[in-house]
Amino acid sequence: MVVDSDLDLMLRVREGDAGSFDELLRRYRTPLVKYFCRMLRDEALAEDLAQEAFLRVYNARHRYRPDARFTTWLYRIATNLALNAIRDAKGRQRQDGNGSTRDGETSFEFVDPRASVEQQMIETDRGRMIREAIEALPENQRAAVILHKYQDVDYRQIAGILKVSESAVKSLLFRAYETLRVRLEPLVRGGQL
Amino acid sequence: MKCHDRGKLFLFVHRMLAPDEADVMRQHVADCANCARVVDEHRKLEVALGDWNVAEPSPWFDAKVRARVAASEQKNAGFFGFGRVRVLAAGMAAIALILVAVVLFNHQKVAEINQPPGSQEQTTVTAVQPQVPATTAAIRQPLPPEEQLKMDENLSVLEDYEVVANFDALSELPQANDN
Repeated sequence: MVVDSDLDLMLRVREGDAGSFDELLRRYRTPLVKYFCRMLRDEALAEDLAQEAFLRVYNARHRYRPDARFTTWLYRIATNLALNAIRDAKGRQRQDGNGSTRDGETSFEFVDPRASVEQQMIETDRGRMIREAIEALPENQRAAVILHKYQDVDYRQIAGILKVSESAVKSLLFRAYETLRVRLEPLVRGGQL
Repeated sequence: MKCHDRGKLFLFVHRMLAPDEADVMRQHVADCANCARVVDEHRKLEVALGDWNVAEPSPWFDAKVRARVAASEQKNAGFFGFGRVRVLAAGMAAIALILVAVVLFNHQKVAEINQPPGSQEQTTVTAVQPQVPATTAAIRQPLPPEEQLKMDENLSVLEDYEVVANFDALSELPQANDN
């Protein structure tokens, strides 16, 4: 059985084929929701923004140009949505006077009041440490690390998503991983928490 | 061979080096304990980061996306469909208004021409007349009915070719080859 490429599916979506859109939805709903969850932590917001990203893909189907990979386009939409949400949250925290500084970066937290029991069970101590270390990274570094490590996106594609040069992505990733290595030293040394 | 900086070793671990550079690095790391330790740190971090799990999409995720797409389609159809009809209707209404205005204007003109002197409209027109020179106004004044009748009776003379051809006044005009 021949598996259609994302590009073929997207071209068919452009022609109005709803089945092809469903297939893209099936392929990318989990990666996209997880991407937003890691970027924002708030599960409900992550789902909402993932839905919004798919809606934007659908609405922009006539503007899709097949010269770029579909995932580059999809993650660019998703990254813009996530970064805007982070900036909005920062803005609200500044207005509320709750912003705190950590390593010169204004930290923020999406405190999800509806944090599910399931989520609390999923998150181990190790997971919490990793999450906190990644959340403390500057926005671009955070996006680059999450795309690279968890979404399995190539650094060349990350350059396309973040609209920076490939060498800038290498530099972003190196600085981010170095920061994480220091912050997560107990994990890196293999110690159990 | 001299040791590489951490950045280069990082790129090596994450396969961001060109193949020939990676081959050289691989040989060096195999012989250099210091660089091998840095590479090991990068790899351990890579493994450790794998412990961060997050939630899966909810079971109703697809249904919600489809509902949003359908709502957006409906909205767009409303905007482009009904909106287009409205623009068309407005355009047709404007054309109809212009046509009505032209017809009314012409009708008024015809009525002014055919109106007997001394009527209400004529009074209105003559009220504006002072701005027009007196001679022009005199020419524009409609003739009294008896004068008009005389003119109409003489019209047949002008229609008679023989009369016009032998009209003395015309023969008195200078000829084209006369100097």
